[in-house]
Amino acid sequence: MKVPMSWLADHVDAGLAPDALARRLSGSGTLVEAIHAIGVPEADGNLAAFRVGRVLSAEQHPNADRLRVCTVDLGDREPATIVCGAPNVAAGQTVAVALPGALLPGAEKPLGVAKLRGVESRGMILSATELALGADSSGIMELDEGPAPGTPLAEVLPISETVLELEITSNRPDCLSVRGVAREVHAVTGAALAPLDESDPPAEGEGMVEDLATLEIQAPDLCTRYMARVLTDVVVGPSPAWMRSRLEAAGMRAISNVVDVTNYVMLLTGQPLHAFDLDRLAGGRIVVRRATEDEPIVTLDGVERRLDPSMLAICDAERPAVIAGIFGAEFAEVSQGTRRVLLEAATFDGPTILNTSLALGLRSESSGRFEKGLPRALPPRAMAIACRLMIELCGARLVPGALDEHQPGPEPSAVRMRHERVGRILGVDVAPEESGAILERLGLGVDLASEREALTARIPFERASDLTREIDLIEEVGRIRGLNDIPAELPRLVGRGRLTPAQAIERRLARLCADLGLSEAVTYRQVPESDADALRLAADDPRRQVVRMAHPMSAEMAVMRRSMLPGLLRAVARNQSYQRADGGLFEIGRTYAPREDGQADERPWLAAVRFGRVGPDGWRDAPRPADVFAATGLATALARAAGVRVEPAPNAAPYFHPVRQARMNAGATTVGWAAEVHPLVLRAFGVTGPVAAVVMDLEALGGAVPGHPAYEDLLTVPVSQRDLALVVPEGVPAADLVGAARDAGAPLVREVRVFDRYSGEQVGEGHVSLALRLSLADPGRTLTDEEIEAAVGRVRDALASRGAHLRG
Amino acid sequence: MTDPDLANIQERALAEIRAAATLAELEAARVAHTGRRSPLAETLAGIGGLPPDRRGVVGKAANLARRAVEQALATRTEELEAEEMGAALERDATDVTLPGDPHPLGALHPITQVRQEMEDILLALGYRISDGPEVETEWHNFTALNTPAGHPARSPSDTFFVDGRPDRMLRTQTSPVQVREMQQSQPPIYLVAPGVVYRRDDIDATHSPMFHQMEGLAVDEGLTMAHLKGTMLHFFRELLGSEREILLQPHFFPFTEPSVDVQVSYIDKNGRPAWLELAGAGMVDPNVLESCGIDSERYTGFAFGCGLDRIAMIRFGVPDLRLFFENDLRFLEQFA
Repeated sequence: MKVPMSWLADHVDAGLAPDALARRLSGSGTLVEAIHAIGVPEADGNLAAFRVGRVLSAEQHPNADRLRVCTVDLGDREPATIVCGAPNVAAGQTVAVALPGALLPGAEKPLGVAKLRGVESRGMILSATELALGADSSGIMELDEGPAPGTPLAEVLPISETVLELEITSNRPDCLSVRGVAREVHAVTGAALAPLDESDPPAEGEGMVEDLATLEIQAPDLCTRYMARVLTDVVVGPSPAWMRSRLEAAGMRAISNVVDVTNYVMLLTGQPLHAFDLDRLAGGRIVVRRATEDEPIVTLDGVERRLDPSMLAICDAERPAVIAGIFGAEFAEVSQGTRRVLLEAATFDGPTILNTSLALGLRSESSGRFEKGLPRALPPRAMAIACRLMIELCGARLVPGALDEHQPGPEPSAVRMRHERVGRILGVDVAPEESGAILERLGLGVDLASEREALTARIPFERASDLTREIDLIEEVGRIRGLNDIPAELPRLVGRGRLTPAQAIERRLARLCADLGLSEAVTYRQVPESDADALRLAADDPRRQVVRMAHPMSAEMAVMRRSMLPGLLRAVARNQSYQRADGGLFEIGRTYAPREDGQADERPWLAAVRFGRVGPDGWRDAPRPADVFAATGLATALARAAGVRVEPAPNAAPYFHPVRQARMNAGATTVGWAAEVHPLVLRAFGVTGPVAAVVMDLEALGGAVPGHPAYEDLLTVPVSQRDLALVVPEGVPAADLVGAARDAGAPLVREVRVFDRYSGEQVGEGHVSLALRLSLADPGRTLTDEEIEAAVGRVRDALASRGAHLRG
Repeated sequence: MTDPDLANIQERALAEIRAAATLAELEAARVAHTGRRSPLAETLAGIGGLPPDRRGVVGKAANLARRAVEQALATRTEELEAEEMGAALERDATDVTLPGDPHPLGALHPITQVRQEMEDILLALGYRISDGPEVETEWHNFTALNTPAGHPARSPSDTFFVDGRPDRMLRTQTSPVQVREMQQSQPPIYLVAPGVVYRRDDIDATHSPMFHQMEGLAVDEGLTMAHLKGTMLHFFRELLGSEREILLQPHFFPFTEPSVDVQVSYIDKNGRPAWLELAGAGMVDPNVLESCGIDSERYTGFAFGCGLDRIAMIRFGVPDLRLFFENDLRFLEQFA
């Protein structure tokens, strides 16, 4: 909402400079986004260089066909000679003149004394454009004859204007008007608010409105009020400069006096109006109805649009003349030849206007107001003011009577506010008299006397939708008083502020990943549905079930992700695209499995990838390729950081390398997966391998965390070690042997570690040699040789039963 | 045999020991002067053949001489060993200015860094961290938060709805977490809910269809706007520096009343003091409390929310929101 200061000053003059007023408004909830100075710069007495002049003579320039040499009376003793290029300049005209030294709008340098084809010009006769008063640059601007030559131009024309650009919050459609903003200024500053003349002007036209037009509302649910009046003897022409300049300053284009009046009154009152050429409305009829399916309308911009029954149309006897509240049709618009005008002031269902304007891609000043739902009591005010202006500015005569159909309006409401409650919300006590005065300045009728502990306020119709409860009044008191004298206090400390175990694990794991050289990624959780194919999921894989967007931004963001891998693989591809050879990324986030109730099982994961090579890459060490062991090692460290010990076990997921993937088990629970990513998956994401991937199921991992460890005395006792050399068929998982050894040797065998692996001629085709180191101990006690041998014997037997041949 | 012989023997031995330049020469000297055939050993061995009155004197002198020689041997051994180790260490010379073994650190995402810092500030005030579903019900995201039907935010042009389930959507704010928490527990409630939210915005330098918010909620007896103000002042001073001031500007949000924008002071490019709008906040609307089953006469509360992405942009001087979601290691590793 753009509000010219001069217009505001007609209603309330706070005597504040624009920036001071802006601070007051912003501090009370009407945010001033910008202050624009338009027109002639005011600084350094520049306005004095602009005067009213009278053209005494206008002669052809001796040396130039297109120039005239004028003598202009500027109120000085001698008239000035001014060379003018405008085709329309003529003796006898009253004109706007800039004197030498004047700084014109947008100019960088002041006007000088110029010699034009040999004739010295002392000033410039101005067009509207040169004064930033409009788009008409075809010739100089002719003024009314009234003001004497020499009169400061600023007294005659609004040549300099300051405009406040306001952000109006959605709860305050009443402030989408100069009058509403003036009310706010009054409330905040206490400056007097000038009365608004909303009385009906005299109706001196012939006949009665019913004789000239009829009204029928077929959709009363969408049109809560429709009011129409008729004006005859209209002379369409340009509106006066003051109105044009206000409209332009407020961001609207001046069009013609009739259209300008409707826009001017909309800006003043917040109520949009529409003017029809009554003679073009078939049957003189106004029918307010839902549009029919695919009903065409050619709007003012010459575009044919198609309506549907969710939309409201204002029609004549035959066809839509306006998309209600949004945009008019070409055929019924006021034009140069219009003599009789039907003026509409109506209220419509807000959401209908919003949805229609969204559906058609048409937003206008008018629709922006209607979509918020305007009060039914507003049209008569706007109608009265508009008719008065039509009479004044368009020579119109108002036909007696009005067509006016409406639903019964809501009863004026009253709201009670307890004084003690004000302090309990705002944190500062406010005297009842102060509250009462604030609410009165906002236009509420306040009764302070009836009750000691509360006041009752009658709500004006402009605020009826916004002020319905005690809290609404408290907010008004708070924001008009200002919030900055409220003290700053902290609540007493009562909460139990600590991370949950799951949150602590998440932080611990993220920190570990970063410390191991991986950087944290944040990828879009809306992904293409084709990710399921890229991951080589089977046709019946349940992970093809997704939460799908009804209106996705694009196919790339059509569904919620079911896997953490695609986002990270896309990130790897991106990094590889600029020749990044090695690197690591991890992400903590959720996947979304659709549920019957329309929501999702949202499971938290940590996923990590390393691509290229892994390990120290210095001048004396060569890193290794990112393979499955890079993955299992990382997964093991991550689980360990959560307090969980894991063992790898074979796994078969379609997106991983068929034989280089493992699940990471904590006992019987799988808490993660570690693998090389399948080359076909890498290809689908445009990634160059190898890529080692780890996915940790944070819920499962959290569930596997044991209690606090209890201290065991392994310090004062010797730990015995025994090494076993085995030959096993290839394909027997080492983790199975380690697990079997540990189970068989428990509790004395406390650790089993693979410390060597060899395959080759000595062990024979299809076999590998593994070396296991057993560590045996019992806390607080030294083991006897017999105990050790017995435990090792149990381990040997267990390994042998799994096909291991023990050597040596 | 006479005493002067012993003195002579000792002197020769000591001289040879001193003269030994290597451990090998020293070993030769040791054998020559303390070995079985050495004059000293022979002297000691011959003591038994001396007249009894001489035995004590010579024995004592011989033992003294032996001790002196052994002492000299030990000292010289230590000296030579130290010299040899020194020489050996010198041969290990290397360029210590070469880089050490690399331990490259990765980085937490800048948004995570900011988020954790904010969480820690509020944890210290007794808040706990909470989160809720991202695929939300329209009721929790809008209706319970006082957003009327027909509000523009509820339209499919602003919000991602679930296909085939027009009452399910991706949450547009972290505020529904408030609702779920208030439904589940009674005051006092002090919680902070950071998380991912979704709005149907095209991706550009300041917009993204997915971004991050953090929501704080306090519901208790006796909470007023003074507590909201104190909490915001504390929060932003802890986060951005103790010199910060805050300004509450009245604003409008459907689920708080009064509502405010929280502006935080900063020094602009030209060195002038200015204000930056960093959070929205307000007193929890009584309707919201009641729809969650909390007595709005007995309890009051305040809520605040801010954009993590925006604060991370400010904190790290990141000019374009898209950098946060591109996962370019050249970007991310700057924050290690």
